[in-house]
Amino acid sequence: MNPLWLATRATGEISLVLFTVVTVMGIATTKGWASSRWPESVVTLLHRNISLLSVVFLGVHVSTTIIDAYVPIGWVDVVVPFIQPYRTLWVGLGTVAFDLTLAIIITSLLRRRMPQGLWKGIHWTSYLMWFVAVLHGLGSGSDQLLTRVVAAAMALAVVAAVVARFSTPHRQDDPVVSVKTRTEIPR
Amino acid sequence: MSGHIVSIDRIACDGFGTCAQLLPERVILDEWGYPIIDPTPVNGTERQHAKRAVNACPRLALRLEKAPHEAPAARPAAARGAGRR
Amino acid sequence: MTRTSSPAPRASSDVGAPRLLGDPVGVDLAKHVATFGTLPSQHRIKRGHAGPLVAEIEQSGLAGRGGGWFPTGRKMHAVVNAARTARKDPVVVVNAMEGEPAASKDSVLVHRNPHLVLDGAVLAAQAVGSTVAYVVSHRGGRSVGTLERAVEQRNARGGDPVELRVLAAPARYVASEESALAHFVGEGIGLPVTVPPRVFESGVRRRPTLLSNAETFAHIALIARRGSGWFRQVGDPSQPGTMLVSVSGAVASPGVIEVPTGTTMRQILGLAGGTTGAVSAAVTGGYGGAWVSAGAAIDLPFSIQGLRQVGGTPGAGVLAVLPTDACGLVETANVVRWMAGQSAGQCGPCRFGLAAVAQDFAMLSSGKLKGTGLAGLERRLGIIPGRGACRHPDGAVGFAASALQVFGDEVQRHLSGHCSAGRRTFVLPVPTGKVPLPVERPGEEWR
Repeated sequence: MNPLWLATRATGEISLVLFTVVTVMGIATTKGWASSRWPESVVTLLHRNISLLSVVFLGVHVSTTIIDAYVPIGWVDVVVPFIQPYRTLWVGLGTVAFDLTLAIIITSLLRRRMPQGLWKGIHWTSYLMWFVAVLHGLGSGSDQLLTRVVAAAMALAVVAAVVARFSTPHRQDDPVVSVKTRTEIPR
Repeated sequence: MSGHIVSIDRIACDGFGTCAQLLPERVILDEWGYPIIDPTPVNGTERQHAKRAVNACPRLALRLEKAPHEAPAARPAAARGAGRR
Repeated sequence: MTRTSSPAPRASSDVGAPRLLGDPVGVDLAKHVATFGTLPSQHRIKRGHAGPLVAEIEQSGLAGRGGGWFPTGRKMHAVVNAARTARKDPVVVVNAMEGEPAASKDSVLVHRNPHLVLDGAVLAAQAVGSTVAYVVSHRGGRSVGTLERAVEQRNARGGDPVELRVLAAPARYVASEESALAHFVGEGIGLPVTVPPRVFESGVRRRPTLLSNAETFAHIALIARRGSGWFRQVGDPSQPGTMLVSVSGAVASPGVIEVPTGTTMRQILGLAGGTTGAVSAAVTGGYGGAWVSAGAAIDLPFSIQGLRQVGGTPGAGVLAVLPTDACGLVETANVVRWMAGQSAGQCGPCRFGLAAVAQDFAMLSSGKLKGTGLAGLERRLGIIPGRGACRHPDGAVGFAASALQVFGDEVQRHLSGHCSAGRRTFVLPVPTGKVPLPVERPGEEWR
């Protein structure tokens, strides 16, 4: 089999797993999920470092796709979705995910130089990006059971994290602690 | 050789505590998880640690600023009179 | 907001003629002009240059009457310089909020002499090169209506060289903090923001902002007419002029009094009808100020230098006297609980720290705190100040700490479960009812 094609599929699979880990660690960061073995600083820094690793694998995945002459996907198709003929929708979704990833990574590297509201808004599209990436994997990967199992496992991980994220109170959400002992005038 | 001090945006700070883990030489946490920062300037290797702590804050609440020329004010004791910095 | 009594200002005949609180003028422009003369005219100022009034204010030694006591002339210069550097037109904001529960001087002033306050705002704006002056007071209070009618009167008579806009801000303690007020005027959110930059550099919509108390502007209006020399004729030379003091508690005629700065507490209490029996202590400066022992402070000048020796401060001209049958710790617990509830909740040490201190004080006041609890309280009081974006926690902590000091004997009694007070009602006014914080605090919309 075409080694470039294998590389594309393998790095695609690995990217998805890594981005899943990144997403879960991002949720862990904001919720303050930590322990003595995994202190907050480690969670935060791992989130950032693994995201860079994911981008590397994503970069290889994209490069092998372009170089591979078997499919008609070129440079432009990496950033402009839905204009090439091979599995237009599913590959296009990959392009969308890639665009979002670029935006997220670049804004995060330049975080200090931009309005925080803008950074936050773009960072929130990471949920969308991950979801689109999963669809891309399911639709444009071959019909292999392993792909589907991995995708399902990743989906489970993120869904569980998201549910936990929104259903548990925010780490500092306690209302202003009400004074429990009423001030009384003692006899 | 003037150093830098760690300054904090108290509103942005959400009490994650990352800073105290990466720069225990200057930062300890109070009982509610919020940082108490020693205003002594950081020099040499301490400055590397301080930079990492500043970059690691999930809310970007910390900054490294040039130390002012006067000696850093001692932390106010149990307040005397109207507390004003 | 409840008040302990309706304010009844009186002419301070023992201490010279009143300047701000003379015969009431009210919302009557004609009477105002007849009493004080017309508004002095000033030439249009180029951005970045200070009008001649600024130098006059500097020479007068006028200091901010909102509690800061910062030299007003210096502040005006700072605004002008910031406007030149930033190439932005400055803005003027008049703080007529009256957020301090034990104070009523600003609302009294606004009702007696609204046009004096507005004159001062217009004159100051012209002098620093601003074309607009915002006058902000509490939503639901009477000052807003009074100010609006006063502005309408002026507009009917041809208007002012500067646009006057009256705004109503949420009735929340921290909303009258400098950065919160500028934040409200600029973006409609009455919550403090991180400083630096201070508002004189970057306030309303990032413009250099001259923000001062209503009383300060009233003094400016008079200095513009009568000169800095006149202003310095009375009061403490290091902090000249007259000041308004809200006197409450165990006095025969509580209310707002105008006295020269440096008047002693004893004289002020005399003007308020004298004390109604034995008194033990007094609140100076407000609920972010400090308790002082009556015996130690009674003959001290009611000024920054005078009260500093006993840990007090005149603040925004607040003097609340405690009778001996009241318990200072119980009063403090009630105040601190309210102050904790007034936290904007933006900074952990204030949001959680003040609540913990309030809890400790509630236990202390009801005799349920033990020695270790007291040590914990003192430790907390030590680590909270300076760790919020604004000085709200510092003030509340300072107030609480001063109570532990002034009522030291009472603390010992409470530690063993007793209290020496016989009184069944509170002396210090604490508002009831909640003013909700904005649903969306900036930066918290998305997590």
